[in-house]
Amino acid sequence: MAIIGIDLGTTNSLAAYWDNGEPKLIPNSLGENITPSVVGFDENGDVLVGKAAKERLRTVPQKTTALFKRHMGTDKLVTLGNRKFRAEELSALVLKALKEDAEHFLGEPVTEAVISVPAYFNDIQRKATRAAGKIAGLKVERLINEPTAAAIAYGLHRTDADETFLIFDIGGGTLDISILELFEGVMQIHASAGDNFLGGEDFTEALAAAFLEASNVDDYVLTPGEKNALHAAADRCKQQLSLKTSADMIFMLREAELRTCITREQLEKISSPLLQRIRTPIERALKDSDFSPDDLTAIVLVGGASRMPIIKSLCSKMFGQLPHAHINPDEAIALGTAVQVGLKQQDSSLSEIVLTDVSPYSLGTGIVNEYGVDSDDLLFHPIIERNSPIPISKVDQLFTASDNQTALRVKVFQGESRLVRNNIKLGEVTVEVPNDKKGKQAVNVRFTYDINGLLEIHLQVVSTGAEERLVIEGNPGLLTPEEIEQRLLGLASLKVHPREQMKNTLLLARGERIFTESLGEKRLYAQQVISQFEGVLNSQDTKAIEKAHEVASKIFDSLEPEKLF
Amino acid sequence: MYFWNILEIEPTSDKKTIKKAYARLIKHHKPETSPEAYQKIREAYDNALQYIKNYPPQNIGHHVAMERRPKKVERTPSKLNAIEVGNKIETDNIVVVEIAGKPLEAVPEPEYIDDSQKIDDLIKELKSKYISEDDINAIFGENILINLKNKKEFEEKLLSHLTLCEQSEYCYELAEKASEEFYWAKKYKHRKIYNKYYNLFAKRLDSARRYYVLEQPLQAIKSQYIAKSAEVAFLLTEEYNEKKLKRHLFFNIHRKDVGKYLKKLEKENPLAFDYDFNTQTVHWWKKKVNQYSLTFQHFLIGAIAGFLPSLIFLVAETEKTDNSIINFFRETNLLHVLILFTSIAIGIMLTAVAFYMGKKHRIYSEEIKLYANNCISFFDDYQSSTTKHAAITMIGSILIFTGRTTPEKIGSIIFWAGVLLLGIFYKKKIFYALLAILLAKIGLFISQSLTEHIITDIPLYLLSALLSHGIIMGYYCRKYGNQFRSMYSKSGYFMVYSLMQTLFATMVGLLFIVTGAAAWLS
Repeated sequence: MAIIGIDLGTTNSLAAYWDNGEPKLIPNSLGENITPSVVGFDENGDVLVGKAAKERLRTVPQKTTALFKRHMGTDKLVTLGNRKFRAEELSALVLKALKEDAEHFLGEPVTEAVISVPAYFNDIQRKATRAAGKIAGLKVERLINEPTAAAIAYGLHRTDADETFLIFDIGGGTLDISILELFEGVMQIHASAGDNFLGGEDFTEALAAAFLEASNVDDYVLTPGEKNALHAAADRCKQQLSLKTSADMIFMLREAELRTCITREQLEKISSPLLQRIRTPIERALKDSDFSPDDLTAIVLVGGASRMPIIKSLCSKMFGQLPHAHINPDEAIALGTAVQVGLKQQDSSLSEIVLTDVSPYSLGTGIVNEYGVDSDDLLFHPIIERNSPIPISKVDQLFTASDNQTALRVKVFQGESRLVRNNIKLGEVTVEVPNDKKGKQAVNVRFTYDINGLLEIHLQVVSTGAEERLVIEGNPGLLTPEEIEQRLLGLASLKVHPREQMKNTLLLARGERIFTESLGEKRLYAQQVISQFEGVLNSQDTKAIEKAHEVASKIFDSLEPEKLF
Repeated sequence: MYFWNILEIEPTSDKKTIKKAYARLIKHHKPETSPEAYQKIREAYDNALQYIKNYPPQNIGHHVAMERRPKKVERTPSKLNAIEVGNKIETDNIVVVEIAGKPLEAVPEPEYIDDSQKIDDLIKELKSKYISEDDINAIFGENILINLKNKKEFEEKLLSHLTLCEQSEYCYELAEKASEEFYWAKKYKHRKIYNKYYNLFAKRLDSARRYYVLEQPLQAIKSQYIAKSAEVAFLLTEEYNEKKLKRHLFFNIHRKDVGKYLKKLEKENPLAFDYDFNTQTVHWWKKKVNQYSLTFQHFLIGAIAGFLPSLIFLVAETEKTDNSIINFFRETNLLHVLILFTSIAIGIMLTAVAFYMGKKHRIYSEEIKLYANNCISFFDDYQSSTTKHAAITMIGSILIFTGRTTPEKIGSIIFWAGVLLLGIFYKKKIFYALLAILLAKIGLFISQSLTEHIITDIPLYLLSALLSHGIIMGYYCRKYGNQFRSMYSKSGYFMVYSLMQTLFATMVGLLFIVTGAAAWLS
């Protein structure tokens, strides 16, 4: 019965485990640590997750999807084939794949997981992540904030250090900024801030949009498959720009090859609105933690998008120091989740390490506005301020707002807006109070926020002593427990693509993509290679298949010289 | 301060020690396993860091010395209620444990003479330093508050402190707690007894809270301004409640007047009583300041007018007795012109100085108004009484000028009778009026023995009157408490300023008249 740590990313996901005092990554069926967060169905209706599905984004767009983490906590449905899926279910499929990989690798059933979420995920998004875990058949007691996980990975071997550092976590779809202090084995998060809709994918999209504009092509003429291909081309170009100062972006649009040369300066110009948005959470985190940029001893960049030179140069400009480059930005979070697993298991090698986190949002209730103009709206009355250390328990007193009021309803909100309607409602609880004049009856409202993000509201009427409790649990978000159960069964009926064939499926998917993207002779050649390989596959001769695989991948490599990763 | 106890260390200014202690403690009380203990330790840690940030090492020694004396280690922080007040330490339920095998005696509890002293000390303590949540809990913890006989007095003084507190972030927690303890928000909603200032306080609290949450510095400035205007109303209401201060010689604030003043304030500036703030409020304050500056100018004119008869007398006398000064002017024409010009130049210069001083004073008084609006009522009364004094001085002087023998005596009698009447007018303060007469008589005697010349008498009369005035003022001010004492020292500057201005203005007038007379004669 193992517990694993999972970094469930927008673009890529990783799994890791705690192995005798050391976090280790779990390779997938292809022997790679990184599994792209892409889900699709193959011709037989089997679920396909990872790299093979990623290749099929171009060729079978109607049956493949990516970037669904961005829809976590919303009711948006994605149609794959003839079925509709929620973001939780798609994430669950990824989690399930990671779980199977881990079970295969560790040789024992995996029942529980620590999953990382962006620090700036709100309660509903967190609940959605937990629900996804549940649907995948994993018990998810702990969610860990991504920058916190990265910080643990960074700080694990620096327990003697006395440092204050900033974790700049820019992944595929989210940006998180956390400020940490490390001393005497204590890892103390001072502040977290972020943007849930800003990540590497936004840069890719900006690049794709700029490319279309330069090529005089309208966005709406593209089919979903072409859009995916354009996205992939932009992604390749973006990755090349991390190594070179200029790169060609090539995109095959209906028998025509579009080609534009893009330089780093151009990319910087294209993405300047995004770079501007990065500054806001950084400034807020610094302000909330009461540190100045000079107090920071290191800047740690994590997340795939942090490989981009423009992000690095932005950091250098903002903090006047070069970012720390000794940790792998893709793996840090996953390793951190594994350390959290170790902490959770109270591993003796970690007894000298304490991790303290903060709540990234304010939690509070709505109160009647008595002397404002906008009196129709309830005002947000924070009880637990953002960036308060958790676990925390705070009490406040509220009064009745009108004569003959017989009950007091406490609505629970999360957010920073002055008006509750702009914040996220988490629940409400009502307590009866004796009929009295306005303001005569008081209720003590206690908010207790525990380390697992469980929020408990406790009300006590001062005059009568009557009590009322509300537990805003960590499981259901938009889905009820019954619905989760239902979806769990729904997904169980889906057949998962056999993992032994993953390698070959990937190769075929890649070949098909190359076929779609190429022209003329190259195309015919790819066609030929695919057919030959399929022939060998049908022979079911393991050795022959292995050999054919090797040959075919070499040919494909030669057909795609610009492929980098 | 509890946080040292919770962190299980001696008070220190060393960040490292605090961090070490914190790290050591939370390794045993991890947030995952013991959330409550962790929250407590974390709060203590944050408070300790905040404390050393606010009180740099040189100041901490004082506290260290005090904390060390009792040498107590406390093991049940939840039960403990002790507060350090001035240089006394009050203890409650402290578990004394042995240190190095030697039992230590508990320090006897110092008894307070009365409640007021204790309350004043508490308030002083609250004003003087950063208040941690533990301190607040200690104050509102059952023992201290229940032991206070006059809880109401504490409540009012605390409210006064909070309403005037400049650092809203420091006061915020205290205000929240106090509000909870005394149900201010509730009382405010009752709109019964403390209608006025609870209303204001509640609004301020709300705006401070908003500021706290939304981090709008502008809002904070606004709420401070509101608080300033609220201050006047509040302080007056406070006096209104304290019956013993209602009527006496120099601070004659009447019950009726307070009511009137409040009404006037509200009528003149409804904005100050409203939540919102705009330019009109600033305008209102400027108007108020100008009004007081004008009152001062009136006083100045009155003082100069008081001296004018004496100058006329001088002119008349020099003409009559063929004074050597006049001869001097008559004989040498060149020197005469020179002195004429010089005196005009000096006159202009002195006028400029007087104007400068006047301006400086205006700025000064503006500052007083803005930073200590509570002086307003005081200045009001002070000015009216000085004006009365000046008027009587004038009458007396004019009567004295009419003749050097009998009329002079009659004048002096009327003068001092006026002072006596003034005393009777203020009721029950005849003793002080008699004292004033006695002192003035001594002054008169000294002045008469020093010189026969009447002109020198008048400033001495005035000085002696001011002297006696000052002595009585001082007597009252001592009784008046810290807040009014500081106010009085400000009014002392005010007095000196006005006196100097008066003298300058007088010299200007004198010189002009002397030169004018000389020119006329030549």
